[in-house]
Amino acid sequence: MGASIAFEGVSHRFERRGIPVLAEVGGQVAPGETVALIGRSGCGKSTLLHILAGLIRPSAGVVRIDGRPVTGPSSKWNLMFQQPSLYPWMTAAENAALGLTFAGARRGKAETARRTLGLVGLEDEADANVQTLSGGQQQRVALARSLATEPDVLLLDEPFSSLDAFTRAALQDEVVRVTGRLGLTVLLVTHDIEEAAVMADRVLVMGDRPGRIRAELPISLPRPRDRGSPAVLAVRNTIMRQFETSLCLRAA
Amino acid sequence: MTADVEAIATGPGALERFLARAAKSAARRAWLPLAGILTLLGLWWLGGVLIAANPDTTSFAGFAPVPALAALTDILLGGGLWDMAGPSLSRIGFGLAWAAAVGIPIGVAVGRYAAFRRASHTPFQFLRMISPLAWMPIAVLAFATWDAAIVFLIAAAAIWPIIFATANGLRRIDPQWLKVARNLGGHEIQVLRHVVFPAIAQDMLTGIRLALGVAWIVLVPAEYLGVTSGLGYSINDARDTLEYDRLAAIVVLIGAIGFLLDGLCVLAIKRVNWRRAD
Repeated sequence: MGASIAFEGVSHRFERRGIPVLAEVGGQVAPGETVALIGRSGCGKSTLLHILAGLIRPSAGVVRIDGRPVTGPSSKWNLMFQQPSLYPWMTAAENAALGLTFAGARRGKAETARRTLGLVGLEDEADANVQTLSGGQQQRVALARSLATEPDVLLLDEPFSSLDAFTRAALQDEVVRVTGRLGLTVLLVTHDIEEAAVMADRVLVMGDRPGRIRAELPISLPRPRDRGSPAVLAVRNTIMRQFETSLCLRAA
Repeated sequence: MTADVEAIATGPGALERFLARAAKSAARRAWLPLAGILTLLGLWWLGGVLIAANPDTTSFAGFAPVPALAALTDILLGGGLWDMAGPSLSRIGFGLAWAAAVGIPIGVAVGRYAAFRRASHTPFQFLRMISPLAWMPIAVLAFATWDAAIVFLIAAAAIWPIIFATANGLRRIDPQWLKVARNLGGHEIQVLRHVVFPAIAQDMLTGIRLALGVAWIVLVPAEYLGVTSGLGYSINDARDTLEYDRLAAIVVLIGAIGFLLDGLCVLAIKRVNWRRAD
């Protein structure tokens, strides 16, 4: 089941006296909710996601998942990256099972990995050399690897941006289906407005230099959503307008 | 198009043509290496002829291919091979094992920690350039047995390629692999075992292959001193007893065993290679 995410006063600068990347960012994600964080490249959205995952320690601020402060990576949440970065010396199933290996699992590891690959439609490729899989299949294996430890929270860092349009759409639907079925809390970082319109319950618009959340927009459409439907296109336009307005506000 | 291919593949005399083509391509592949070997034998034979023709060197005529290969057959059939090569192989084995046991962790540290890399660069490059044989007197003082001293000298020669190849492999690791592993909750030791070592296995074995080459070269002079077994000792022994045919046979043996060990390393490297062949 999903867990809540809460972050408060999160500020970050990479060098001691450098320009802040994030300034006093705060927000909440409810259990089972899917939130999209959109913004231009370099606005700090990816840094915020790394901080939420415990991979970067923020200069200031706290992150709580399920009420407990995040101090490092955990099998309770997982960050999925833009590139699949599979381990080429492992089969698809061994890749998917790595989190379980790290957690010290001995029994049932292979079955869990296979079951998770089945969840993303790759049961037939369990023993495949991952170097022979297509880009979309590799990203599915990476998704299975993220899901195998049964996390409560899935953090997605532009995970579809290196895929072609058709594969991207198929994987977006797949993630909506799987995370909906497992009831996971999802925080999706993207610069693709359609992606946010198709996947999210709520969109946070982030401005840059320093990164701050400028606007918030709920989307109350049922999922799965049809990309071409007037409702989704309307949401797209609203996000786009909201995006432009919040950037103009900053310029003024 | 497909019909043409089938006609060729199944037509009359297809098998004969296929075999002829296979034999032709095998011959084409084999003839250059074969020519190389024959040239080497020819030069050896020529050297033998020149040595025999010169009155000053005629007593060394045993170096020529015919007597040397006869002596080699004697060694191989007489069962002297293992007595000669066994102790040498054991010294090489222990020397390489020590070099790997010490060199791989150091190589991981060099590749992983920039501070250690910068601090160790000059000392390592300096030590690397010292011939291991220069340590001989110190090794003899420091170790109780000649055997231990030789193992030390081999390890001192073999450690550098292992350190540098391991460090090099580590620096070429995709940083994203380490990030993904950490994100999955892997601790330092787990990440080393499941990600770093499989990723650099090929580099480590390439280091060991280079190390073996150096160690095999250092072995023979190291065995000139003190010990009464091994290939190096046997060469010295053959010289003292003026058995030049036997001496040349041992030289051939040293080359052949080294070639074989190198081939084993190549096989092992192929085995751990995870890069796809295409």
